[in-house]
Formats: sequence, C-alpha cells, structure tokens
Amino acid sequence: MTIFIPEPHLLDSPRGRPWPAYPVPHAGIRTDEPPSTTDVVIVGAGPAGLAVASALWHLGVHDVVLLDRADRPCARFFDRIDVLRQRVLRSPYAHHPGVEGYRDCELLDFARLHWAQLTAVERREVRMAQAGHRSVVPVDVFEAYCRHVATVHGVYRRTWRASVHSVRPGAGGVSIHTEGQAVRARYAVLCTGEERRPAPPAWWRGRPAAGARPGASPDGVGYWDEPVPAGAGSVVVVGAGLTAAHLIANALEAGQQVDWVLRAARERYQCSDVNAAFFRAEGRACFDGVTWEDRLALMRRERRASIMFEFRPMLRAAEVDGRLTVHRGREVAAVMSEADRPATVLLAGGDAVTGDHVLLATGTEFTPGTRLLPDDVVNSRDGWPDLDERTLGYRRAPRVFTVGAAAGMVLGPAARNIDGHRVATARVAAAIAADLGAVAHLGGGAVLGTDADLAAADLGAGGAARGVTGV
Amino acid sequence: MSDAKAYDPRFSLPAVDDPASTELGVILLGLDADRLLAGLGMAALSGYSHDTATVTLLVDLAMHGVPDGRPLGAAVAAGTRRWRAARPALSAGYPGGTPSAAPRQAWAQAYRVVAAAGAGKPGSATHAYLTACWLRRNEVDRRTNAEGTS
Repeated sequence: MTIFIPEPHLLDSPRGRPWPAYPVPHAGIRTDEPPSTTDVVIVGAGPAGLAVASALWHLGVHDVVLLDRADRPCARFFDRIDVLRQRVLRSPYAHHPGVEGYRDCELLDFARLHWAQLTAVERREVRMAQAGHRSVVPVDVFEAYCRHVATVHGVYRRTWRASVHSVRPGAGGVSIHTEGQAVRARYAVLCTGEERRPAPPAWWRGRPAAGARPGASPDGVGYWDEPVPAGAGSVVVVGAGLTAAHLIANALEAGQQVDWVLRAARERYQCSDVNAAFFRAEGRACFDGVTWEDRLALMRRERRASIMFEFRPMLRAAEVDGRLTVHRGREVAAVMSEADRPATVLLAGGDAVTGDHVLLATGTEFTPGTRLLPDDVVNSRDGWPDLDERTLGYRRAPRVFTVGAAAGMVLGPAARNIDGHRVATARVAAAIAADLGAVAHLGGGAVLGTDADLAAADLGAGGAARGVTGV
Repeated sequence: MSDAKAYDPRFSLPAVDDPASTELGVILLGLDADRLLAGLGMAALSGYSHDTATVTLLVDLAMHGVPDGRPLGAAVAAGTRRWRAARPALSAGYPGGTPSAAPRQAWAQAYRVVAAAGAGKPGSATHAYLTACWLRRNEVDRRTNAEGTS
C-alpha cells in the first residue's frame, strides 16, 4: 500500500523567476480588425482556446480566428493565479494545452529543458511525473510553455482582442458578433472558461458604499479574484476549496488573523480536484451508457470543493496556535458591511464572525452557452447544454462546439480541467477537420453547408432569427 | 513555509542533482536524426550556440514553420555540414569499447569524447547536439549519406 505524505514545499515554487528570453519576438495579439470571414472562430484564447487552435493547426486547419477580451492568450487564467499568489498548478505534467501525437515539445520535456531554472523540489516533482506519480507543475513553467505552444501554432498572429456579444448559427455557418463587427465562420468553438460565481443575493445586507457599482460587493467585502486591501488586520474567508486555502495562506503569511467559514462539516483534502479516475478513459466511461440521472448524481458527488493535501499541515498548525479559527458546518446567512463597523458574516443560527475584510471564495460557474447562443439552440436540461457526444457540437447548431465545463455531462467532472480540455479538443478538432476535408474533397460543403451558405450566414438580428429557426 | 532543506521525499529519485546539460542531453537522445541535425545547424545559425534549451525550442519553431524563426531546411543543411566536418575527428578520438547502457552515463562518456576531439565549439549547444549525434551516429550517418546534402 502506498501512503501519501503531503509535502508543503511543493507550494513554495518561485513565481516570476528569471527565465531565458524566448528566441523569437512576438508583437502581442492583433489590434487591427479581424477578418470578416474565416473557417473557424474560437471564442476565448485561454488554455482551452489555445489547445483547440493548436490541435486544428496540426490537422491542417490554419484559417482560424481567436477572439479574446484580454490583451494576451491565457491572460485571465494567469491573472487569477497571480492574484491568489498560486505558485503551482494542481494539474499534473500530463495535462497541458499542447498537442499529443505530433512530436511537439510537451510540458514535461519543456520543464526538463529548463532544468537549470528549476528548484530541487521542482526537479523531484519532474522525476515523480516521469515515474508516473502525481506531481504538480510550477506556474512559471506552465506560463512559459503556454507561450511556446501559442507561438509555434501561430496563436498570437491569429488572436484579436474583442468581446464577443453573441454567436448566431445560420444555415451554412455561424456569425460571431463583437462590438460593432461580425465575423462569419464555418464553425465556432466556445472556449469561454468560467465566470466568478456570485454570492447568493440573499446574503447581502447593509448599505452599499457611496458610488458603488450596481451589483458590486460592498466595502469590506471582496471576491477571491479581487485584491485584499492593504492594512487589513483580520480577514474572514468563506469557501471550501483550493481558492479559500490560498486566501487563508496569504493572510496568515501577511500576519493577519483568519476566520474560515466552511459549510461542510470538515475540510476535504484531495490531490486533484476530482477523483483521478475521471482524468482517464475508465473515468469517462462512467458516463457512457448510464442514465442522465446517474450522470447528475455523479457530478454532484464528484465535483465538490477540495484542497490540495499540501495545505493541511500549515492550516492545522495555524488552527492549533490560534491564528486561524475554523467555523465548520456553518451556513452563511448574510454578509454585512456598513460604515464604521467591521465586515460581518452572519452564520445560520445567529453567530456573527467579524473581520476587517471578508473574502468570498465562491468559486466559478460555467454557462451552457446561453450568454452567447439563443436559448433554444442551447436547449439546456438541468443547466447542461444539449451536445452531440461524438463531436461536442450543439445538437441544434452542429457547427458550434464547446470545450470546457459545459461538456461536463459528456466527459464527466474533469471536463473543466485542462485534461478535460484535451479530450474535448481532440473531438472538436477532429470533427471540424473532417468536415472541412469533406468540403474540400467534394468541392463544397456536402456535410454541413456550402460556401454559398457561409456567405449567407446571418449577420443581423433578423438574420439571427432566421438562422435559429433554420437550425 | 517550512525549511526546504528538510524535504524528505521518502524514497530517492534519480539524477535530481545532475547538471542541466545532462538532463538536456537525455532529452536530445530521444530526438530523431533530422531534429538532431537541425539542432546542430541551428546552434551555428541562430546565435544561440551557448544555449541548448533555446536551440531545441528553435528547432520546434522551425518544425512548425514559424515565420520569425530559421527555416528547417537551412538548419538541417547546416547541421549536416557540421556533422560531416566533425565526424572524422570524433571517430579518431573514440576510445572504443561498449558504451554504458545507462543513458546518463553514456551521455557523460560521449560528452567527453566530443570535448577531447575539440569538436564541441563554439558553445554548449553545439557540444550537446554533436554528442547526441555521436551517440546516434548510425542513424545520423544514414540520414546524411542518404540526403547527400553538402
């Protein structure tokens, strides 16, 4: 029997260490207008979008446009990591946005190429990965690797900064609408990632600060992806997952007193955020051939917040010496912040926990596509989109695909992880390449549409209506 | 966090403290002859003859046809010329015997052969790629002879 021993040093990887200059310059992403037509639009240039673009590149699909809100690929991914001061990824080396099967440099070898930049602990982690054991990846390594993957697959010169407002499937293509512009494509792939999960509206009590934006959290309260005000002597952290653990660790390191409100009866420590079986084919097979209800039950059971084992010694020590107070098994009834009073988390049953600042580690949530696609195209059931399991295309708009958490009811609880992106990418890229191959071979869209159809893809509101009904 | 010196992985892991050149060398041993020749050539063409990791990334860039990088064909051709120029000296300096079956030991032995032949200049990347070519010389020779590239 193997006994796993948590090793806190894994969390100490340096961030922002000197790294060798990349050998070719890049001018950043595109600032001109994106082309009006293309084969594939990828909405979102995060790790999922990067994986899809890279896979398409190897399948010979080069006419690709990535649209992203940020000024660089994977910006939100790394910004979130850095605001949490996370130094390692929970994902193992095998999970990365590069492409398998084409002799590309993969993440593990990329780390080994930079052996001189790795600490002794990180080198041991590499050896653990080579031996097939669980190991974690330094953020520095992952970030440099993402840049390499993006460069070799032409992602920078195919990415435009744009906020996508809607995706409208038509008879022969898809129109993707940004601020004042539309891009017509044969296919669209939604790689939109997950948004911050807002606290339940019933939590909010108290008076909003003068000038506060509607919906913004009141003074003294912030979400996990917002900076903690300097000078806070004590914080209250609400949440049960890895994000909460990082917030607590940062506060303790800053010398702050911490109260931790945990709905569960006790902390849940786990290597990866879902059972490792779900990163493999046998895990995904749990979803094949079982009923919808069984899939829902599996998702409820397996997608629970958990914390890397490596945090446990530090958190326990802090609780023992009184720097951390854990309120286990307590529901939040309200979050209050009013002028001249400490921020307060009111617990069900009447107890109140106060601090200089309340941090809500409420996690993220996905949408099934309804923020971009018409509801009747998404055709959601229990909050999940209606997807073709072979291609991850929307059944009612087979030229629109999704990669990420929205594929959870097809790929299981690992769909939102980088490994899930890899599996989804393989299906989506293969479906698109096969269809484009059919188009080229047959001289015009025998499978899902024709060039004429693409030219006629709906661009206006009226067109969108026609497109939806015509799907 | 606690003192990293107290780190105890509970079982030993091999070659954690080996120099970066050895770790990179073991990776190079897994590359095909074309990539090795491209790396050898890229070391000469790119100005990164001192940096094996960067040369290896440049080969990856060239394999993908990245416009800003050096063309793959030019790199392979330059590597072929370099290999042919170095080959006689490496053969002459080879002490014979059976190389170690352990990749890291074999790498260290071959690295010394290249150094002794004075063939590894001007930098560590050239030295590393020549070492890999020497250890994989049967494939590299087949590739360069078949190609007839001069």
